[in-house]
Amino acid sequence: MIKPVPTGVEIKLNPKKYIVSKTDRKGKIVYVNDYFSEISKYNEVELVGAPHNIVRHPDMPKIVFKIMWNSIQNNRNITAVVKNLAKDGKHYWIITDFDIQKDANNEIKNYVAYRWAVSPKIVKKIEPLYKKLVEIEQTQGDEESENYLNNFLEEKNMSYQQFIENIAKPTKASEILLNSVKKLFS
Amino acid sequence: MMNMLVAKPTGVEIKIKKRTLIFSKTDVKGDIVSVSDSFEKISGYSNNELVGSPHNIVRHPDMPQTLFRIMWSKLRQGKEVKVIVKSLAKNGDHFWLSSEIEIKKDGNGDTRHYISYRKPVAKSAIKKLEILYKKLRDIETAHGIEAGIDYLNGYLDENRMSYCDLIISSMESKDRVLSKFTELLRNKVNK
Repeated sequence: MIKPVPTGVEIKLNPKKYIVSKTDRKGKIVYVNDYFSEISKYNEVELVGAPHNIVRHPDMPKIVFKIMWNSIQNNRNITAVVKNLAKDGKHYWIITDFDIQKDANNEIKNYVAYRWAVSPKIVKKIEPLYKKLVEIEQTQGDEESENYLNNFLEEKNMSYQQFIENIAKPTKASEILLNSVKKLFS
Repeated sequence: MMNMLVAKPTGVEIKIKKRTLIFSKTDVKGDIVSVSDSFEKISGYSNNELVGSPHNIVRHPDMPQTLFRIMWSKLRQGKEVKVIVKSLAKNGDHFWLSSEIEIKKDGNGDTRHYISYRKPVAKSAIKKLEILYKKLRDIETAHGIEAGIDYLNGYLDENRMSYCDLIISSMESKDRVLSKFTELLRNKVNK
């Protein structure tokens, strides 16, 4: 599939709505809710069976996905701020959270991701870091980009998770809303 | 079984009177054993054409295979099933019915027959299910039935329901009267 070309235009998300997707162990999409289709502009047929990086934006540093993937594969939930690319080239910023579903043998079966809108204030804080990481990735390679992030976090004495939580602490209301959505899938 | 040409869908819906009670009985393979007069009338097939034919003689191409797969797997596990189905009449028109399928066993506990009790469906339910069924069909055409089943499960998770709940919730509450009718019909058939 040809990747859409980013237009630089941002899609405004409804703060009351969640983008939900369910993937298998390998990250292949098995379910998306209506809002996912509406925002990403891909229909269900295009999304089901596709790897989740179908909405990956080139402005996103690889290291963020590496951290996310490492965490959920090891059964630890993680919160991340991500810029996604819609089919029409527009983008939308989301904060994501996971639910790790296991089968009867306690093996990971599915990941359900819940995403909601992030305020422009948070985007402003994280965008320069991502920009820097992508820049290093492209000029000096993935490893250097990872080192840079590690140093950046070490200086703050935080993990990526803590860093995100620190700048994007969910409001009480959004937390309650998220928990009720999550209950549906557990 | 007779060899019959299946008509092309015309897109015309056959309206079914509210209190019409329809049933069909199949053997374990899904071949029709008997049907109510109303089923003959609505489907446009004669009793001769129906008896001995597989039940999918009335299968509409708009129906996702996912549903039939789930239905059969439940029935084989001995679970009774509720399902809302769009069916194809002999002339290509279609009709929507909700079915409750009962499992009939012999003295040894082996399944002998399935009896499907059908009744008309509220318009609002049809509208809702048409959208879901279309998505399922598109997904299974592109990615296979397993993908359809996964998608349906995700949809039901999100709406916090089983498929059976979805069917029940799609039926209007005034259908309680119809449920009573179904019960009466069940008793009559089982006599």
